Amino acid sequence: MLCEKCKKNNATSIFKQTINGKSTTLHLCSECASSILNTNLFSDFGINNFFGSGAGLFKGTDKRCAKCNTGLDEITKGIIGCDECYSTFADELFGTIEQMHGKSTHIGKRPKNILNSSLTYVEDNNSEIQKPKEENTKLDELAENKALLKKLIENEEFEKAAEIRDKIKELEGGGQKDD
Amino acid sequence: MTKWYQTQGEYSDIVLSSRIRLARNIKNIPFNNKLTSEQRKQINKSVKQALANINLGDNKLKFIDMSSLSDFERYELVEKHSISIEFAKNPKDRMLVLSEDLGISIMVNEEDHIRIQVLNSGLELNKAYEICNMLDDVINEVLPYAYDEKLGYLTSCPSNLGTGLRASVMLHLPGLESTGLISRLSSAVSKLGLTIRGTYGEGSKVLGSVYQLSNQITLGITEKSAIENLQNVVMQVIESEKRAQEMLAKDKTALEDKVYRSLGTLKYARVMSSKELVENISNVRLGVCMGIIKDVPINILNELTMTTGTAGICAMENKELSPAQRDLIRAKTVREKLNG
Repeated sequence: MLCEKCKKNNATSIFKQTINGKSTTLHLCSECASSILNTNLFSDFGINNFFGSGAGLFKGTDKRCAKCNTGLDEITKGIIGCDECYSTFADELFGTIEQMHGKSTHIGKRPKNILNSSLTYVEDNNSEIQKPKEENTKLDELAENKALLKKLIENEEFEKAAEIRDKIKELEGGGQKDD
Repeated sequence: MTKWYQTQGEYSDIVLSSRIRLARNIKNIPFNNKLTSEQRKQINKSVKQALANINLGDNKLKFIDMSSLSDFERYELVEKHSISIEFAKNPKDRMLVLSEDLGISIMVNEEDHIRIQVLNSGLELNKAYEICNMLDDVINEVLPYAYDEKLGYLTSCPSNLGTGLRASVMLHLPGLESTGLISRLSSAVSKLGLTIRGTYGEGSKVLGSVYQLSNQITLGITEKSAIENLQNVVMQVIESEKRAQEMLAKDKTALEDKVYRSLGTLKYARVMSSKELVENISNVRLGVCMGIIKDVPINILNELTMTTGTAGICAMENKELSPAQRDLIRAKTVREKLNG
């Protein structure tokens, strides 16, 4: 990922500091890391400050979300204006999200309508293993067909059930077709 | 129809309730703090349409315009854990979808566009998740969600990113509280990605030794693992609570005296504040849990806890009441319930 301060170089250092039980993590490049060691970076923290002491890093940046016009000043207070803000402020939010959850990649349920989703998220270099999209779509389809099969059997619609059963077999055995 | 809190579930002697909540937002619409009144109304309408044809048998859904409710009607729902305090405070342009048994509540236009919540009696997290998941799918068939491959379900607060799932369990822990072990428990669970809070969630006081234990992490963990983690910790807490209760039992006379005094107060007092009720119910529950009291069913204690709060008493009489009036009605309600 890019340095959270200059946003130019790759981050090579991780800064962690705990003040009154509140930890702050920052990903910085070596240049910014050394300059910060000579300044009082961790001075401006407050209870209402979403980023804790890290907010000081983003002062003076006038970035705004193109979709909802939320500014960085609001983001640092914990006000996320819309889904697009997560893309716009991906770099600024990364540290906070990682600090909150200890992880940065979702591995749970996916919505059914995911294929229609046009939302994109700026990838960072540190991203963890991501499930391939195609495979997930197949899994969704498989689950849907299995549920449908169960329903058809319950309704004694055996002809249709047989069709779905074959489709499930095809989906399940898809990877071994060439064998 | 029987309300969820009138039933009993697994480990009901210590676990009052299990709750699963899913936070969802509709794609391409700003989050709560950036919404116009028109947009809020449209979201209410869309959610209502999405759920219009759902079949839950007798457990029918009601669509409630929050601003149509009186103050005590809204706060009664808080006391029953159907809605958050925040949702009750600002009813404008907010809709509540509530099932007949009060077990399902969907807050529309809360912190997120949609908050699906299912409450069950006892330790029944999986059952609650199944229903939540089904409702989630039904809504999602019609409404596309704000979702990102990397961050999961996008929520107005980053603390809910990922699954958007909060699983929580209300526990009655008088043993761990009186032996002073509760603070150790609190620091132990935080290391496991869980958090322990007061009776009405974040920042609330602990009433009658009732604590809320819930998962804190929602990103990078599956729904199943989050629920399993919590369930496992709850099982350990139950064991610790039982051991702590055994310690209390060493002074049998003192314990029996405390328990029976509370039962006596509940059965015969003529005036009762809500604080007094909660404390006495807690003692009687401990007595039931330890086998000292055998003729008081746990679900009656649950019901009294859920229905005799400040707003609950007003709702019973369907009017605003003074504290003195409430204390009289509360004492009467409790007497009638416990004396059959």
